[in-house]
Amino acid sequence: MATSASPTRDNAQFPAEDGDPLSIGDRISPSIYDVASIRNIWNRHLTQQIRVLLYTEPLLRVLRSDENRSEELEHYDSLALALKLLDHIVTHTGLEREADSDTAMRELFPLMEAMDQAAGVEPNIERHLRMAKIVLGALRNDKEGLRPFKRVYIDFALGHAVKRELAIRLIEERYTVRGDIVLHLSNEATNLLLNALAYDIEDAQAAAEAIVQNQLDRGHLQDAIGTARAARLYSSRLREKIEQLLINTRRDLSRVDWKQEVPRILTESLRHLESRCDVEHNIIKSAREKQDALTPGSEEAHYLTILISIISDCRQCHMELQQQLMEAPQIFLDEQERQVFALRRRLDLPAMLSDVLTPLLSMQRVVAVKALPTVSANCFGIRAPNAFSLTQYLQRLLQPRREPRPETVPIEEREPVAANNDLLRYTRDVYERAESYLNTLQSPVRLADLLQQALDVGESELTLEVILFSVLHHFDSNDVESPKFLTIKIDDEQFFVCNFSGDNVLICDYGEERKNE
Amino acid sequence: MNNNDELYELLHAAGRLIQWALQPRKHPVTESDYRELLARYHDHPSFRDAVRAIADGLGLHIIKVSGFGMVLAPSEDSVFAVTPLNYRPSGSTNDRLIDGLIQVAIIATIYPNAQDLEDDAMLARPPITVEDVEATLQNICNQIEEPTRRQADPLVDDLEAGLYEAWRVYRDKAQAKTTEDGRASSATTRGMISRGLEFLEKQGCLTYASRDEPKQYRPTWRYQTMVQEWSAQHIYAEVRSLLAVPPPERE
Repeated sequence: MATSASPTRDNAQFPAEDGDPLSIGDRISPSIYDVASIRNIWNRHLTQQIRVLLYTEPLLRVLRSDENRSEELEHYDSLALALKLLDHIVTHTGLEREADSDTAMRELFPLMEAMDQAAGVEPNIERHLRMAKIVLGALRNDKEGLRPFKRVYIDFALGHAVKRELAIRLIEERYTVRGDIVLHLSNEATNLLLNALAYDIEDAQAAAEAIVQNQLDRGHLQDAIGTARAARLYSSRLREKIEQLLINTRRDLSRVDWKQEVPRILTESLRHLESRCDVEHNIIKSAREKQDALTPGSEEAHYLTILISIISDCRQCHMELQQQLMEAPQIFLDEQERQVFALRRRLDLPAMLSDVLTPLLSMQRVVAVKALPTVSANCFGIRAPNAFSLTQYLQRLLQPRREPRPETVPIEEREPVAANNDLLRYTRDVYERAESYLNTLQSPVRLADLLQQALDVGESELTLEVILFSVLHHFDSNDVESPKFLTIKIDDEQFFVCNFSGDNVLICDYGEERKNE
Repeated sequence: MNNNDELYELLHAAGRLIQWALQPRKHPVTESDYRELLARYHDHPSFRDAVRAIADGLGLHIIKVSGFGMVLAPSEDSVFAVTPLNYRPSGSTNDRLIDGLIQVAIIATIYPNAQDLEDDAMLARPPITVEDVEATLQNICNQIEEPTRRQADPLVDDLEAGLYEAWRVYRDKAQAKTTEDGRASSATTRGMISRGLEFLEKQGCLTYASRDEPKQYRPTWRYQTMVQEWSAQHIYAEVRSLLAVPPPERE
């Protein structure tokens, strides 16, 4: 089919412009274009570009919302804050301490303080926190319960304009193995942030490493470190992908397509890794050459050390992965041998993962909902319903309030006593005996004399201990809660009574002492 | 004792046995009456018939009777069945769908392969955690989502008509969410899984293998028997029947 040779133009409604007949302002009656021509005009690449642009929309929306913010917050540039937040999250992903909402928000405080200073506003931590919450909330889509942002766009399928919806998630909260909640970027947001949205992970890594090499050559070492970190992230992603494949193989061979898909992935990955290892080797080599030419301890040498370390990590990861990839076919054969001789299942028994849960999740929502009564009845077990009894209900309503009748059951008055479960070394009696010596001082007395006095009347060693500890406890002359006696060290005289020794302090009546003062 | 008295006693005992079976936490080892009724069920065909007839009338299926107790399963229209509305009286259809998916995922986590369903129900299955169930669902969602990444996004008209896949409903729900006071929100997939597991624990289907975080839940003999002998096949049959029906089209 071809387009009409002379398309009809509604000139009265849309006046013609010079030049291109399809330029803005032109409207051509749709009937003159057939499906094939629309297909030629629009290709899937453009749809992909729209989708990429739409992913930036939530970020730009954060920026737009600056205008509607209250006066005290309007000097903050939320796009800068949002990007810093995303950057903080991505740099901490996969590390031992990943970014949580608290640490991520605190990361923004210095930036906000700088913005405060630029605007001549006094920095305020509460305001910073409020703004940080707004930015984080906007990126997480808190308003819609952390659901993905939904954006509608026009696509051209089979020659017709159709509306499609793109679900966009930038930040998601995930549990760690320790049970904390941390922030993660979605794959798309990570790609968006690392400028690799249009590439596969392998290609993106190649690009990242090419950029590292380029930046290294040009001496942009700090930029090179940033890019190298991104490359390291790609490496860990590739490893996760392969590891998941092998885990699935070990779990259930039938769930992995070892006929076509997996061999393809393995071959491509091996090829990719071989080239990556070479490139990484070259980067490390040129970085080392550069480092040798620099003064040891200089800033540039330091950056190069970091860069070498990151790229070495990547290389190590790739070499380990290469080993895994080479062993993968053997894992498949071993698992095939192991799983093929597993007991043949009864034909009526389903594999709950592949035969039930996967189809259920793949079903259209309206269809899956129909399975709910069966699922509920078969999963929750039985539950005896609570039957409503009108008679019992009425009886309960009419039942007089139960008044306490103390005359029928004698209630013994209880005397509360202080008690605890600790086993005390000194009984109350011992305390009282010790206090009787300390609280009834007629005149100032040396500690040794007081102890000897107690010893002479046959007091136990425990009582002597309590006297000693009480004196020690109230040695502080500024102790306002001191009891009736005061402890003063007047000289360096020492004492030795029974098994006790130390400074022979003077103990006097506190009231007497105060009178003297 | 005349015939009427005998019949009354027979039906009364049959009713008592069903009542014991309706209390999942009761065990014949500790309840002598329950134990004796089970023995009678095994030894006396007339009593067995009476119990079966009453259970049938109540919309209950007798799945297994052994020294460990009697395991019953409700038919869909039985008053003893837990409906999605009973389980979540307030909530959207999407929330109820996620609840259902979670219940199937719990079974799939305990029994990932068909061979596992053939095991003796007396063999205790390994305990599971909220994380395990979440991982089961996430892995499948990832597998389903992977090829769709290269496909066109869903049409707005289809979305409005509810013609989108169930995994999107699950994926759209946040996995974790921190509340204002720093606690984990229950309106998340993790919160919903935790609720599902706790409900099964109260139903006597699971027990705590560990109460420390992360809590571990171990399926009971009753739950294992119910799933292996009844639930798995019935849910599978329902899924197959739904797959056989051509998917609805937008009008």
